[in-house]
Amino acid sequence: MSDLDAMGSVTRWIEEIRAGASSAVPSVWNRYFSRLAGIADHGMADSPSRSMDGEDVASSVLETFFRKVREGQFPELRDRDDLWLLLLAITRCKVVSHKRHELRQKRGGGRVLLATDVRAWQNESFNLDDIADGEPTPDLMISLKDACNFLISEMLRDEKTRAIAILKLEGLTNKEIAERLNTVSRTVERKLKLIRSAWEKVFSIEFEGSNDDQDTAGE
Amino acid sequence: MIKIPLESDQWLEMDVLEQVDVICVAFEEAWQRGNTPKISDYALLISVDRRAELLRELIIVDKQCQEQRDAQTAKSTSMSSQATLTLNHGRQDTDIEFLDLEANNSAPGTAMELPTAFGDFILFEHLGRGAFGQVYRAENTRTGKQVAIKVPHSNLISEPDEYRLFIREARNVANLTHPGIVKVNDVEFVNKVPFLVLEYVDGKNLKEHIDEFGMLPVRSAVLLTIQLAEAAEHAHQAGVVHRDIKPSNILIESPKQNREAQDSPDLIPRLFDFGIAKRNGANTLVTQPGVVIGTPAYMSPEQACGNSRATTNRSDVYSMGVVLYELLTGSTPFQGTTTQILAAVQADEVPDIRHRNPALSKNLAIVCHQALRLVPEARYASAIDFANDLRRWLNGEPVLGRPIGFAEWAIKKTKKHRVEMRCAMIVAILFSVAGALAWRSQQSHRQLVADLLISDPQSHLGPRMPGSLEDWLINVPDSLADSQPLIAGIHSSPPEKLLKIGNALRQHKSRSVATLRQCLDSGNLDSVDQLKLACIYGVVDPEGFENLGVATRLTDWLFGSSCFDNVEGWTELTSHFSRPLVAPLTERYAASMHSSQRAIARKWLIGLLEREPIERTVEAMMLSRVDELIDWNRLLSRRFRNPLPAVQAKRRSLNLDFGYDEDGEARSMAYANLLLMEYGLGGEESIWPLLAIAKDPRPRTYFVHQIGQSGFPLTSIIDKLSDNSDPTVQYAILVAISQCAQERFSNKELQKIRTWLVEAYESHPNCGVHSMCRWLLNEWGLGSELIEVDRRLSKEGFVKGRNWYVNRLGMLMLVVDGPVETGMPHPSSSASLELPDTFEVRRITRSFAIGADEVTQGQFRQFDPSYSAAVVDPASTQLSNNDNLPAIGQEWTSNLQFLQWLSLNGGYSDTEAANWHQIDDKSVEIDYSKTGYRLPTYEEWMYCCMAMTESHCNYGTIYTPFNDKYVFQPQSKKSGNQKISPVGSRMPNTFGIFDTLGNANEWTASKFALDGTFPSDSLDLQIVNVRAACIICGTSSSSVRPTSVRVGFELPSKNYGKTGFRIARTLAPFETEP
Repeated sequence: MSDLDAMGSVTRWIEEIRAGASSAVPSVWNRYFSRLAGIADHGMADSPSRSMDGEDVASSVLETFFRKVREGQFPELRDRDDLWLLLLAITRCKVVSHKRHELRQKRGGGRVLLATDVRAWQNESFNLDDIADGEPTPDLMISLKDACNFLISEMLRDEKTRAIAILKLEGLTNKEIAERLNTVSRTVERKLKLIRSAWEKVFSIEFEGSNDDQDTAGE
Repeated sequence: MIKIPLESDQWLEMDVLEQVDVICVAFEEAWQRGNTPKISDYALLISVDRRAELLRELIIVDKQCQEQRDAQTAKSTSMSSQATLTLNHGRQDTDIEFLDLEANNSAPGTAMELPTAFGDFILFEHLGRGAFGQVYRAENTRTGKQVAIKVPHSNLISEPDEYRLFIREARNVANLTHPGIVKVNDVEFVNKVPFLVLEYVDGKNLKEHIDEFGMLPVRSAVLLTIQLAEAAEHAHQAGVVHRDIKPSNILIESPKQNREAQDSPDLIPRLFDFGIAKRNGANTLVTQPGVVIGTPAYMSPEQACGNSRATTNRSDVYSMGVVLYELLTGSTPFQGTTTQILAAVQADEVPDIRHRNPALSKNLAIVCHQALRLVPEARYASAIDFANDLRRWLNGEPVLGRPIGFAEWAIKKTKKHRVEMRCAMIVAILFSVAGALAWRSQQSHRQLVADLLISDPQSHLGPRMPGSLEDWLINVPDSLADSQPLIAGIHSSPPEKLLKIGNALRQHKSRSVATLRQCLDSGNLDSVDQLKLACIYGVVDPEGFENLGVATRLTDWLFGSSCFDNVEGWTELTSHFSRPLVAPLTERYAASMHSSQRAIARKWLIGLLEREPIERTVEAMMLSRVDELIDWNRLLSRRFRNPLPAVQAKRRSLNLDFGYDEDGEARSMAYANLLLMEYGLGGEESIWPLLAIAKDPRPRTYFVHQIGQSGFPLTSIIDKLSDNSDPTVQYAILVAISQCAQERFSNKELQKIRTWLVEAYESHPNCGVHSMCRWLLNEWGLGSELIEVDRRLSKEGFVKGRNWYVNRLGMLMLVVDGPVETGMPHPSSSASLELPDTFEVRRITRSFAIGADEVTQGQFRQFDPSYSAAVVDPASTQLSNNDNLPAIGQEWTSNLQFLQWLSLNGGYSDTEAANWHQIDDKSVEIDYSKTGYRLPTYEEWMYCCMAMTESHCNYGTIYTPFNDKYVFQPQSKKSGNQKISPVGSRMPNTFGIFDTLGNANEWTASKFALDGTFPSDSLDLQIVNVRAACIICGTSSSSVRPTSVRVGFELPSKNYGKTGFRIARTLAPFETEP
């Protein structure tokens, strides 16, 4: 059923996210981030991160960001390259592949999944609305934190790049970041491009993994 | 110092982005340490294939660092109040960079390594070195666009005056925009060194092209020269003369994809290097007097003798002539050393091109030589004249160029004292002619000339002076030589005067014809004088005018120039030789979009047709717009005693199979014009039958939608209303009335129509007329008069003889007496918006009734008080709850429940109402033998949409007739609103069914097989797959043209926002039969 070329679909998916973000109704996102912020408020302090090897940059990033959200400062998702979208997409992808794995376990246990159900679910779970769909859970919050830590600490080469990623996620504009780090705005733009490129690689690996799941689930 | 471990494995593993980043960071750090790093040093750190990427980044970082530093300097400056300190803009080393550039490239082989940075540009490739300077292929990092950059030789800009002039000239050239000219985008500076930024054209120059592909075919060569001349004309109009047109200055754009198709006429020449262009009439200091500028072989005689002031547009014409000469023969006219060429160019007419290539057509040779005349005045006056004559040759029309005259050959032989000799020759000819002249004068002729004098006050200044026009007219010479007074006289003459001159000359017809012909053939006139002279010729010899072949040009000229503010004068003049003008003018008329231009064309055309047979008038009238018909009507009635038969004959001669392409559209419009004209001329009786439903709906549609704007009296239409013989004609008449402004009717007429409408609404046997009456009365604000009637009709129920009734719930039902057939597009064709190729004939065996209106939200809410359409699409407030809007958004099965509820409320028994039941969650069984309310089948709804037409477009192929019919108007770009109309508010179709047009999506109940086929509709019991019930879109307005029906499928469980539905029921036999 699914003869999708994995890389092709990643590209398309990223394109869709970007296209969608630029036209997305801001209120939907604002609502989503408010709800996430609500979770963060309750869940952040006592939820242990599962990959606490290195320093926990995510905690401070997310805290700063959600504090702003609670104050009514929402990230400008119209920016088609926003890091938040990638972060959410990667987190979501991890959660989805995890869920699929669970579904596959259940299949042997009695309930027969119709091919159409799987198809519909697979198709629908991969669109932008779905990221913002449903009540975010503390689980999601943990995944988000894990992903955030991993993406910043493991995937970025130097200190300046990490600093830019952190400030960007905290919701600063390119200009503010340039001023804060005493650098020119072109450098900020270039570094962001590097960050996105690194994170998109992570995303495509995650996605490929979940795509394999799809193929077996549909048989 | 730059600390990058360039050899390390880590570095080699990095991708471009990362390497670029590392270098840029180092570069920026150097700036922050207070240094001014050079881009070129850092650019070398990366391998050549990655360098462009790095340069793009470095150039911007460099710029931003510079700005940052400037800002800081400014800050510290203002803080220390040292106002006298000048800011240091620009970098000191840029000059050096530039000079490096020069030095490197002047010594080939030691060229600097490319790509490299140059201002905001990245230079990629050295394209060439010309008289002007160096040319590079480059990228503008600000726009990312590919450009060509020309850096001038330092001697072109070394002096301040030259520098300023250079910039001014460059900006002039930058103003030229033409597809045949390589665009100079701008003049930019790198530290005060100016350079040109040009559009980059991927291709070879004409010289290289010929070297590679060989000679061009004659036709391509001519086409290419035409394009070239048109481009040159553009520059000339802007006052820029190229002065160095030659094959190496003509780029041939690589034909897209097929490079081998070199003989296709697709070669696009692009003129470039206006490097030594000078501005016409302006100071020409850029080149010193006497210094020969240009390339000898392509140089005009006046350039060859170093007379740069005499260099004009005609010099470029000469150079293009040489290019054409070379393209046609393989060599330039003169060969030898530079000195030899320069001497020959100044002294000789070019050698006969046909000696080099005897296969060439004589006329083409004439045109080529006309461009290459030794004396500038003897050449084409402008590049466009040259282009036009070449085009004439291409089209097989007579050319205006003339073979080289005796006088010029004579001059060529003497080689010296050209001007004096020429004068001597002319005097000699004059004398011989004078001797041969018979001195004839006629009284009437003198009278005409006198008339001319009186009418032209200026002539009083010197009447009858020797050499005056008047004198000339009295003694018309039969030779070209002495025609100067005539030429001078017509130059600024209005058409009235031209006519008078023509009338005067007519008195000596044979002699005048000969002389005029000579003048026209001499090629010494500019194109406007030539046309004016042609007009005079036309007055003298109307038959001969046609042979001049200037009719199209004359038409174009009059339209193209502001001199057409005197339509009457020109019309009067040209009506003397109208025949050859009618065709080009009619074409012009049809093509004119702008109303003022159209009005001029119409006025002129009507004037010319005065003397033409009626058929020409009818043909021109067919191209008319509706609001112009009245003018044509007046012309026909005034000019001809009984024009009607000619109009009818024309209409009957036409093939009614118009077709659905663009021409078909024009043909059907023309046909409708004939119908309207017949009506306007009192021939309405023969057109009524054509208002009935027909195979092609367009003549009918266009007639009824335009009659209101035609200005013709409407009395016959109102009278026809009472003729009950064909209800579809009556329907058409009602549409026609609805399209007329109410002011078009007298009060008495209006009263008559209203009374008729109310009566017909209550008792007319045809549903189409009934619905149309309701719609029109509502439109006119008289809907309230119908409330009482509606009550009566609902009580009355079904009345035999009518094809409609109002049910107990007040819903209008159309009765269809089966079996009936309908054509329908195959479902597989419905996915595309294109017209279906084939119609499949489907048969409906049962008799049925179908609701004329969709179910409204108000009606649906009576069944389900919780129903709300707003949940469907909260963003679209237009669709939110309103009792009069169609019920949309509910699931398909909810519709079935509503219909069952309706049956029980409408007086049907439980048995009849229970016409469906659910088999499982996938399928529903419907029993079509029961008479309770149900959804229509696919075929039933299709039949209603098509309303008996056999056409894909049952109201024609243009959108105007739909203005009153669209149900759903998709999101408008302006307001962003989607607009759906209240039920029954749009014009009904011929059947009397409302809301079938304009993206009207409705649910139907039909068995649908997954392979996309429909089984026959004749079975009583059908099982419907609820996963794929179908909806049908009525007229689709988003397609290329409006189509009658379109099919789509939707899952009934999905809230499909725009899909409404209407009720239907199977009729028991007794319900239709008497």
